[in-house]
Amino acid sequence: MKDITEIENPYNYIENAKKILREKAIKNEGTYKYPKYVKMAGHIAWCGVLLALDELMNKNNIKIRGRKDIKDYIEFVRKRNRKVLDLLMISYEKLHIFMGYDGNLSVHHSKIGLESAKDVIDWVNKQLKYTK
Amino acid sequence: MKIKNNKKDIAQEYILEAKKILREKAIRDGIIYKHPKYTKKAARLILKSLLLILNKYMKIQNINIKDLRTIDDYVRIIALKNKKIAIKTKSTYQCLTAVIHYGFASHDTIKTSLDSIKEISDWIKKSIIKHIK
Repeated sequence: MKDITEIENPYNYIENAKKILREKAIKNEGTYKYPKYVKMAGHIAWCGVLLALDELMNKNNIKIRGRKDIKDYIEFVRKRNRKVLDLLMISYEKLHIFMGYDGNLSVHHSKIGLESAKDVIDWVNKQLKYTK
Repeated sequence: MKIKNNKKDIAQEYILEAKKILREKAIRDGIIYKHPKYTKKAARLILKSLLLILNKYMKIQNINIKDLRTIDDYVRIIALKNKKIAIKTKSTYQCLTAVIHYGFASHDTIKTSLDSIKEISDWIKKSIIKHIK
């Protein structure tokens, strides 16, 4: 059986999202065919970003009362790195809103969203060292 | 705004006005726009421009605009002639409405929306020329 740390690896989330887009959403001339799978991929990739940030918050002993909100993540990253904040905001916009909520079929938005998500996870990875 | 009296190409004027607002008031800060209020305002103008362009197309197709209730109605009609443009129309509409709602936009989103609108507009112009011939 796989170790829990092996499964709960943010890079796996990104890879799974890419796989869903490639195999199920089906690309055709700059657009995807199925919104259902675009939504699914967007949710998964966004979960990967949140997972990475959650672990970094835990490492920094940041405790949030009640449920976490996007504003908590933004505030946390803002205090540490402004460039990563931009990347986080782009991931939020593209993965969570455009893909996750709307099921936007544009390949361009998905590509930019996944790239910025990976950059955010890379930044976290520098501090936590995941096994890729 | 000085848009109302000009009958030339109102859609294009909306785009120019939006670009001006983005440049002078929303102000780019890295890859995102700083001021949500003006970002929303610009997105609203861009959306208006998109809808004007779409209405022009519906007019040449002899479709009553009042019968079109949602963006899906527009998309369905465009898809009969060009699926790619139809998907682009919906995608652009979704992006712009999200920007209007949240007031947050990256430079890339606005640029992609403007590029898509230009592509849609060019395709509609071609359709009008075909229709006249």
